[in-house]
Amino acid sequence: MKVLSKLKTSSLVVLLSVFLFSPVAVYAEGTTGSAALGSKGICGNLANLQANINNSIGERTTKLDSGRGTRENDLTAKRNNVDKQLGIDRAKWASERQEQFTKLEAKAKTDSQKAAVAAFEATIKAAIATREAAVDAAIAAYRAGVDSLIVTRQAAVNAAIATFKSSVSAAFAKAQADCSAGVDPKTVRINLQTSLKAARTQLKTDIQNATNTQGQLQTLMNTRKTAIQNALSAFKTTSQAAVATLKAAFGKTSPSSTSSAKP
Amino acid sequence: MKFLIPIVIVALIILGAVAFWKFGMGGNNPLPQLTTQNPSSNISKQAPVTGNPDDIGATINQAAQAEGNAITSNDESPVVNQNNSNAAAVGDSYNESSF
Repeated sequence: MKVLSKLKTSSLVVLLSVFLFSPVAVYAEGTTGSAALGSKGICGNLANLQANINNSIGERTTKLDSGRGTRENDLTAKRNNVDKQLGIDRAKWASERQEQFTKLEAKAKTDSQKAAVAAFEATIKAAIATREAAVDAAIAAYRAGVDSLIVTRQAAVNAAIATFKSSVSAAFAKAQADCSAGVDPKTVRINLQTSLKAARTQLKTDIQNATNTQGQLQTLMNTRKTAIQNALSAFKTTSQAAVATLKAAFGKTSPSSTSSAKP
Repeated sequence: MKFLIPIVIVALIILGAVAFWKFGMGGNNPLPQLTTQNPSSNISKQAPVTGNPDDIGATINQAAQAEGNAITSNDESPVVNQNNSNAAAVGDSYNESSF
């Protein structure tokens, strides 16, 4: 009975020991590998880890490409919308302007008044053509600047990702070489983690620098605004001078009162 | 009288929801048209078609200002910066501390 009791106690101790130490055996690094690495350890799982990471990078770069395509389409749609509306507005303004010209022509009775009206219309039309050309040029310059900025940024992002991929590959190549050279798996794992973390941090920094374009975009907007303000200012000066000349041609009285004047 | 209180509360909620939909976010257009940004639609009101030089001057200068306002207010930055997070997300392809 005493022997049986001792056997029971020993069995219990062994059983408890198994339960107590089995997690250590499973998760211990360097012998049977960590939970994430399964039973092969870091050296036995390098290829698998690298494949998974490369696969994840591939998925994310595909999403990046897709996002670029969407942005390009959205930008084109926005520009087309602006161009279309600008065309509609300009046609409307031209129509309203022509109505004013027609009324003005009806008020011109003398040859000098008719000549003044013709000169006025020609001056205004030329000034509008100049202004619209300047506005179009400002729009084109802005868009070219934005496009260039996108291309530059895209190249910088691509370069950052290429560097990142290269760093990841190099980290795994070193880990593989260390494993082959019999370096302690714990050291291999720590070195790999450190290298991958550095690669990730570098990528984040590079991407942040590459995508920090708000200041450049604002500069492009300011340049366009200045160009348009200059065009408007020149147009206003020309149109005001033309109006003054026209009024002078009709004498001191306004054209509405000259309609009753005899030719 | 007490039974009126919940009816009044429900009515106020419905009114608030309708007001929000009408005047709040629900009525916003993500890509506003140029005509909403400029006063061109008011030109005929501001400068009657009389053929008077002053009215003509007002007509053409209002149109010029409307054109300038429409273009200078057009900002492509939101579109340019959309999906920027996709690039940074490439760096989240792994968590090295997990292995």
